[in-house]
Amino acid sequence: LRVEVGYREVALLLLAEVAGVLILASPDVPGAGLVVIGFLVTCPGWAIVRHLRLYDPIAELTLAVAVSLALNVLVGQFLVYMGAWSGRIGAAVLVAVTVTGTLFPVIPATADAAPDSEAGREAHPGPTPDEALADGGRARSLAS
Amino acid sequence: MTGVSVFILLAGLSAWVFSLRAINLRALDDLGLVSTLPPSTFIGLIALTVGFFLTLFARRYNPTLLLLYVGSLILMLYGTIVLVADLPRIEAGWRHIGYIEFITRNREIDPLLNAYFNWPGFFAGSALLVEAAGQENALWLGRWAPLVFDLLYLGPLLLIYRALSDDPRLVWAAAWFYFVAAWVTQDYFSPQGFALFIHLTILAVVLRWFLLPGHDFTGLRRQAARWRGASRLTDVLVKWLTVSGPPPPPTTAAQRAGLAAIVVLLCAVVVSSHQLTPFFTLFIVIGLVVLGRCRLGGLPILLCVLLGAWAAFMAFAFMQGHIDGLLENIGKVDSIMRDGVSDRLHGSSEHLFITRLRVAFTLFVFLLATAGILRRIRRGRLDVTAVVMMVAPFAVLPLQTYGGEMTLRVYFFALPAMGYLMARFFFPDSVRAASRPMRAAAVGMSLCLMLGLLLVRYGNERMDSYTGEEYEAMVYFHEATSTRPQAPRSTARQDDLPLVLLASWNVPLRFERDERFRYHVIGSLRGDGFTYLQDGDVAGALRAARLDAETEAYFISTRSQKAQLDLMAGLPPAAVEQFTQAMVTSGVAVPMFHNRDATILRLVPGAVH
Repeated sequence: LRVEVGYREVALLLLAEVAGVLILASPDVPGAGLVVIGFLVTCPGWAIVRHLRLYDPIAELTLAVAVSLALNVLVGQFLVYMGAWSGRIGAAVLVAVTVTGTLFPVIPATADAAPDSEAGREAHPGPTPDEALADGGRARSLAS
Repeated sequence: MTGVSVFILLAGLSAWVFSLRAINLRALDDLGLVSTLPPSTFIGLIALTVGFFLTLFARRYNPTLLLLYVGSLILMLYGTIVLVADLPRIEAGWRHIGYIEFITRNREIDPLLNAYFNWPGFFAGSALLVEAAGQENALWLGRWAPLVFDLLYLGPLLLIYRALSDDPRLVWAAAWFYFVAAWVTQDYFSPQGFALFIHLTILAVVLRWFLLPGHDFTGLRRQAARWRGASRLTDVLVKWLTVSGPPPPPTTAAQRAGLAAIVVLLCAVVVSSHQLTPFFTLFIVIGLVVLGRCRLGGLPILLCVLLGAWAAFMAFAFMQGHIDGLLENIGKVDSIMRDGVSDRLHGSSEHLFITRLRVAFTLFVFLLATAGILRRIRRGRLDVTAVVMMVAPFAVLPLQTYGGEMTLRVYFFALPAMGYLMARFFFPDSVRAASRPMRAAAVGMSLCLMLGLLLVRYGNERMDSYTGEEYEAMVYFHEATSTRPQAPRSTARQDDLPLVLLASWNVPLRFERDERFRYHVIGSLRGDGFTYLQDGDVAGALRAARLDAETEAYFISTRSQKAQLDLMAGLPPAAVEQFTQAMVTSGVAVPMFHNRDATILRLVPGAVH
């Protein structure tokens, strides 16, 4: 199993570490709550969704938030139904999900190269990041 | 043009920010928020609308600027009240905060105690966020929820509209029309507000990556060939079913597997978080599968299995006690419509105006969307996917009255498609191809809908917003009653719990220790409940509450309760004040707390006969 570590992975791991410290040590730091919330509603999903290599910022962000919120719900429900409720343990599980999802491809993807490179174009026939930002790959042809 | 668009956007935002300081929620009348909005709010909204459409029609397509415009629209229409009011709105939102407090305090849920705990997903997830963030309660979540939810809806909506249209500009126009017509206030801090985001995301994934570009319908054609005339009709139908919408972007098998796994995950979450939303998802997905538009043919079966399993095992406590009531209403469309529409037409004259305007606004949006379908058909195009998304929610209508809210929910779930179809009415071919009169009509209609939305969405604002003084009184009540010895919840009998008599149900009380009290509403809006308040009949009200002499009991009346009774039943606020005074002068109760917006009385044990 190959572990890829790029700047996105480093960012996710750093965020997971900061959130983990804030959740478990709960230091009296202004804005700590916002950082934890921001982490919990985006990062667990982002760590998983990025493996899909959708190269569409709106789609990736939407799915990252949806999957993160879904994981919050499922972990929270599991703990409460098991009679082991603890918000902090639940959040720690989500930090672990983020780290695991960042380091290991939870969803195996076939295209490794970025789609705007020649190799990536062959491996991944989807839109380039620019096209995706514009309208998911169809703006260029319509604008011309 | 970009410079002009940016300037107009900044000017509109500045006018709106300037207007915030002038909004005084205490000056609201029965027309709601509109009655206190200064002219600068409207100037800001007009500037935003003009700027958005100028950017939309411009020669150069600028998605970043269009995103900023739609984001600003959400901020202005849905963020104004969030920024002006310091507290969560809507009484139900306060109760939801209370259910989260129940989980964090008791570290469990009790499906027998409350129906909501049979679908605890939203509450468990929110409780996790609250506790992990080190917050005392979810009041802050409740306050910001409407703005956050509406911003969240934008993502899946854009994905859905991209799947429906080849024209990137139409995607933004559709999103714009969605947000100027989303008047149904279900985006407050609620399971349904959260579940809508999950529902939209499921549809976004299905439509964006699993939409079948076409189905040859060979069997249907073969059958139709046997009947004279049917073959031609079938050809038209098949053409409609195969031409609408762009093909999905190419994906690998691994990507599709990952996206399908996400859909399954989201289905599990929506089923466990809200009792009604998955039915809307189910009916829309069934429509798409039956008409050959969705590659995930097993998704309706999966949803049915999840719904059945949840009802049979996880929501068993609720189903056991309510199955008869749930089945009783099926098919009674007349009573569902009566509960949802005609029964709401009462109250003060301004409130009646707002309520009628809501009905008219809703019907108008349906008509405009239908006109959009017809304009497309005249051009030989039927937006099958959008039509399914608009029509399928009606399948849920005959199932339940849902407390008189089913008609609202149908509108709520049909609106994503109607946003697209309204945009199609003005731009049936493409945005750039629209004539000048149609462009002008789109701007004018957008402004009319925006004004209508401010009236109908915030028409109850006098009762939906709560003041700091009301909150202060509720905090005092909880502190004052928390010192009394209490039996463990599991052994407490309902009759042993202290009774809280409420002037009406509209009070921000139940955000804490909800299960420690039982409640009785004196000013019920149905039947002859509020006549006790009208006549100052204290003895009658206490008899109706079946209060025995030794029961620990309290009476609460607040500004928002008086506003509700005035707005919805025409009961003057003075009547509630006189009733409160009569309770004290008759010796039944003694004052416990009083400020300008709230009065709390403690009933004297033994004084009640």
